[in-house]
Amino acid sequence: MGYHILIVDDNRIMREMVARAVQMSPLEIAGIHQAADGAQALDLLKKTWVDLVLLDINMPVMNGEQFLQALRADPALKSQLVIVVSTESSKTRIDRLKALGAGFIHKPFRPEELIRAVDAMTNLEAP
Amino acid sequence: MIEIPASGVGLIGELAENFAFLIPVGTCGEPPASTWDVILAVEFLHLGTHHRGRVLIALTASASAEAARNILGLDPDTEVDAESRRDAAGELANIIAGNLLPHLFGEGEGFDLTQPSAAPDPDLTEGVFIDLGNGILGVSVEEDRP
Repeated sequence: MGYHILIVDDNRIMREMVARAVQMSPLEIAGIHQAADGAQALDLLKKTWVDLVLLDINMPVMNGEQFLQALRADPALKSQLVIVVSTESSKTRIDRLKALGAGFIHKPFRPEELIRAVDAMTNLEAP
Repeated sequence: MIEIPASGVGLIGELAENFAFLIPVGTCGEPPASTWDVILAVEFLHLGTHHRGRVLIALTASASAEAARNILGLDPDTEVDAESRRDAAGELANIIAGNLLPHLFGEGEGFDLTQPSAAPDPDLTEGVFIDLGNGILGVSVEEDRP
């Protein structure tokens, strides 16, 4: 048993950096999945169980906010845990993302910040 | 071109260090004599004024390679391919643009940002040039006045 994490970011290096930070967390990780945009992430979520999504906002094809809206509109996926990882600075936009039920971490982040946010979101309980 | 104040130069240095472990050792008055390895543009729309512009980020080859190695946790002598150097520069460009624009225009201001893409002008001769010890990071901000 362990957590399945989905990292959604169009930048491969960023996905790998986030994956390394997740692997440093005290969480038992069963699998790390990756998607390069919101559309890929939605497809993956329809086929694969994921405990937590770490989501970039500024992506081609389907950006992070569009992904969150699509996720919350899907009865099968609407309860999915999501943490947004972004450089977004507008309080209005951050509040809008939080209203869609997402946590928020500002880029650049230290691995400890990501770990704290993941821990808070999952309460460190076994899945 | 928008002048980047000393506080903005300090912020860029902090971002380079925090994200890619690139340690600034000072600034250079002139762009590097060697050609840039990567020059990327992040186009922006300032939601408050509806002005458009772009943030240009340039890295010399040694700086982009070091950024990629540091982010990926690779040994210092590991060869880094062009795609990885560009990916590292792209994320650094995204992070610098996302943090520098509110610093220049006002904290809490909103911006629409594009994904980093190849800059239209293949050179960066104006802006700030930060000496990373093993390479140079150049940053310039342009606003299209209506």
